[in-house]
Amino acid sequence: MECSIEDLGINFWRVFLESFAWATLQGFLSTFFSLILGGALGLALSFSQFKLFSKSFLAVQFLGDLFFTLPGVVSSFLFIVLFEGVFPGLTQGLESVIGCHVLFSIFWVASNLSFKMRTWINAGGKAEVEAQAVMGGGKFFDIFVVGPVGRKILRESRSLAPYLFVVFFTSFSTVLILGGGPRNSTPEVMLFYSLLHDFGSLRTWVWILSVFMMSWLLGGILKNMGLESKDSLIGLAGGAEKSQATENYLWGPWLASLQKNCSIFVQSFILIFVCFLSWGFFKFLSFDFSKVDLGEARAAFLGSFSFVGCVALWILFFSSFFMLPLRPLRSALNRFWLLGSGWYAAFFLTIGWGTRLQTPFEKFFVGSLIFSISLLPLISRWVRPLEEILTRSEVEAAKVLGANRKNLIFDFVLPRMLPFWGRIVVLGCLMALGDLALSTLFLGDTETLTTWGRRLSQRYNFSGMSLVATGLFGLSFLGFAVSRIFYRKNMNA
Amino acid sequence: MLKFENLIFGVPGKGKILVNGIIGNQECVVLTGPTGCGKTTLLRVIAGLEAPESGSIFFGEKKLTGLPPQEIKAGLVFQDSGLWPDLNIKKNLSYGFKFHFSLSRLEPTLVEEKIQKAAQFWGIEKLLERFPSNLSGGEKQSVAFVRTLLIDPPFFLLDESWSALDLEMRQKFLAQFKNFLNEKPKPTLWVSHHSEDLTNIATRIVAWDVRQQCISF
Repeated sequence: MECSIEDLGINFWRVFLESFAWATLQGFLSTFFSLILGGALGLALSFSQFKLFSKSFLAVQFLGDLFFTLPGVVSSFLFIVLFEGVFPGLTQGLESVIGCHVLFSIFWVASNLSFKMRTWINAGGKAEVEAQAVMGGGKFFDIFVVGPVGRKILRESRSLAPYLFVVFFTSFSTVLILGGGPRNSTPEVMLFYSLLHDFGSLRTWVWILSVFMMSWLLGGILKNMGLESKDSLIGLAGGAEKSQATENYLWGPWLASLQKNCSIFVQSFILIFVCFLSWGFFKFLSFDFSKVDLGEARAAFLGSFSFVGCVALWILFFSSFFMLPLRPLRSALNRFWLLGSGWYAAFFLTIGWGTRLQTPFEKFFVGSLIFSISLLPLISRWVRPLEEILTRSEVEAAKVLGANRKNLIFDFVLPRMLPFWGRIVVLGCLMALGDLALSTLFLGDTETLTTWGRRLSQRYNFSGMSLVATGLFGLSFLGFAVSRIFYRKNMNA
Repeated sequence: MLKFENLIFGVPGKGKILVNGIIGNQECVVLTGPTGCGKTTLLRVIAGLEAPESGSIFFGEKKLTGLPPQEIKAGLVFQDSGLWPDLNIKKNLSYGFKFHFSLSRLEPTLVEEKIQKAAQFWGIEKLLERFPSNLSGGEKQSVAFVRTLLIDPPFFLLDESWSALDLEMRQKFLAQFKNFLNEKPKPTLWVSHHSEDLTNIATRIVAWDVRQQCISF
């Protein structure tokens, strides 16, 4: 039986269990399809790594970047624009959420796999493939499906599965827009509804704790099934050998950056296109930009940029570095961050801070800080290459020569972090503003403090906010470009 | 001299290994043994990168066990070179200077001169401006070896350090290193699968007693 949002308080446990079951189902299905399709694309990309069809696969690589930075809110709206006219009614419910999740993550999965393949090839995988080719007569199936390449992709997919599942299980904005009502919702969305309609702080507490525990349990089950990555999530002294692939020609970084960021321009145009649809082309041209009412969103944006991007990154790397000797504890903390995901933010804020903090600035400051922590698992995945920033032999060589931990940080870790910093700040900002819906849980009502993420999620001033989103994507270009330039400088190897 | 007193360390899959004995200041001891028996682990234990289960290592009167690697400052040359890919060879070579020499000896011109001299002597002067990824395996090993020599360590620990060098280069390095040790005697422990071409430089060749799980220097 469908219940209204106002009845949530009465039907608390039933709604909770329904949302949990629904979130689990859509999480599994989204993960499954993302890995199948992303794995296939990753396999295709691995061909290009072997220079078999490098030219032909430029298009695949381009597609791989297309949705890489697309936030959930934007992808949801895009999904509606693409399919609502063709399949009326499809864009509300399970299929739409899965479709959107897959659309959003398939290329990310493929890109991730592609990167791992590159590292693997440089670290000896090429020899493995060649040995297989010599022994097995070089049959395509033997090499790329059941052979070393296929096995490698399977291993990496297994390590991505729990992460993807947690992301889909805790999906907020996509489900809020496409879920189709209280029954088809994740617990996180239900939490949002419950806070929004204030059906009782005690119930909300119980809800949060229950979901937190179930999320934890689910993570434990996944781990016991052997699906969690065997690689350390954070390990500055461990990991595989670093990829040595670089471009040494003068314009290489700029061209590579342009190629990589074409997708971002495409996304910007998609947003403008969406803007046209809802507003009309001529109205758009005559739009008075000074009337875009950002309210205090500018402060929220700048603050989020600083806190969510920077704080999370620095917390991650300094904590991981100082946790190096504490292997079991480090591993436990990794799981704590990864599996808890965004729940900590909601948990802490709802417990008390959200109600005690008075001024918008206080709410914003503390909120951003907490969201920074909740972003750690995401960022730790984005910066996988950075986790392998120093190989064991590099660290040991430096220590034997006399370097202490401080020397390692200032001589190697920080210079090598720079290339990733710009990118992470931009992506972290996008993610925080677009997907985590910063304001919805704690920043008060729309009258006092607004972020564009909230306005988008509630379809307020959609066109104006799309322009802001377009501007943010422009920043991504800058971030990637800076990243490429520094990457070349630091990895000029 | 390097002195081992009932040193016991663990090797995964091989159990515990007991080490006793002395490597004198004038000695270059070559340790041979089968793959995976724990030769590299022994060097790592001496250098402070791994902790032993019990026993002690002394360098002269100084007890090394329990000290961090940055205080032991062993002249450990890794088999996989351990070069930093983001630093060119010159910077790789000069990195250790600041930990070993006083400020007055860290004058850029002095450092440059020292590096140039060593690079010419060991035949790697053409590599100085290049980055590790543009080097062959043998060249990387040469650079790693020279990097260790430059910091003037109290003793040398060489872990298959020239395995990727071609025969000619290897012979040249052996002859030069022998001269170097004659001029500046230091305890040297050289781990290798093959001791044939090291007989010229070795004062002793010690075979790993796999059955007894012990080493006596």
